[in-house]
Amino acid sequence: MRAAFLLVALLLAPLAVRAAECLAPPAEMRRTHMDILMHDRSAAARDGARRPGHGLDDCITCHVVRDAGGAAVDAADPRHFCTSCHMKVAVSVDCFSCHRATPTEAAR
Amino acid sequence: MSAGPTRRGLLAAAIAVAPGLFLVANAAPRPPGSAASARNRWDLLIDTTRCDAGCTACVDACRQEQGWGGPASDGPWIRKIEAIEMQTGRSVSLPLMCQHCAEPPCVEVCPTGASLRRADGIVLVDRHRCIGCRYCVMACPFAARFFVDAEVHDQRAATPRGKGTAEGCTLCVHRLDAGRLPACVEACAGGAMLFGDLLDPAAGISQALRARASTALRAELGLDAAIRYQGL
Repeated sequence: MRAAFLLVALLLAPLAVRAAECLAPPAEMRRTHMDILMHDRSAAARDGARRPGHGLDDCITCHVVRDAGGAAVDAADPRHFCTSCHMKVAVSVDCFSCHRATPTEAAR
Repeated sequence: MSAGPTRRGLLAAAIAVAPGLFLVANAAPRPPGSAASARNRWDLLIDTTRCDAGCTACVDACRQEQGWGGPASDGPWIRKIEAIEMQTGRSVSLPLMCQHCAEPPCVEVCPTGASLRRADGIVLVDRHRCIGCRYCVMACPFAARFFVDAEVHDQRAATPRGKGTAEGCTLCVHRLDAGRLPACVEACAGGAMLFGDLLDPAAGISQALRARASTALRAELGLDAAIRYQGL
């Protein structure tokens, strides 16, 4: 019974994260997202400490921009959530030379 | 050859002294946000007598899971090789991948600290720090480190890969951290791959290692590899 409850909770956890607000209000995220990403990337890649909802993957999934056909736009597209701002402020972002810039289309 | 088993024996004995502390369910996912722990040492035991020469299920599963195998230059993170004993002509088929050494040469030569050994024994590349010097590719005695020389698109979400960085088998850390088995182990049709925690004396792999002789590849190098083979 307890195991079943845990299983359900585990299955629902990603949904809860997805439905939740961003990690911080937009004004704060604009200023601090690079620090959050920088901190978490070392913890995740080197120690395997992955905080649910804090992965780049989670950002991408929530902030996806879709074209008229419904397909997620890639990082090279100026409409991409990260690219739109980074182009404007002329700060290059190299995350997407290794990370995918669009959500995996299969339900995560 | 002699150093490995002795060390393992000592570790097992150390754990037997304080079983209550360490005998947690190793297969369970770690609590969210917690780091890999030195209380685990992930090991893979490959029984070559059950490995079919014509079967590439592990290789296919790895390629599918991790997303390598696009350009021809993509290194096979795992590959099937045939080992032939010169004196007798006896041939053995086995999968070869990063051996996740306890004393990894790739980590030793890395000038930036990108090549690393996690607390639970998994050897990884932190691509954030990798400058693409390829020292690790040359240092690996198993030719299990590779260099990505072409742009990569449509990576797997759990496996970032990019041009100019080194890469290799991760023992499927993303699955492991979620309490799942590596893709190759799950795909192995012949039951030739046994995965588990070496530091858990009750784990199937610890029992199997105690019951039958096994060896590490290039054992003479004293690297204390986490991947061990039977029937060589």
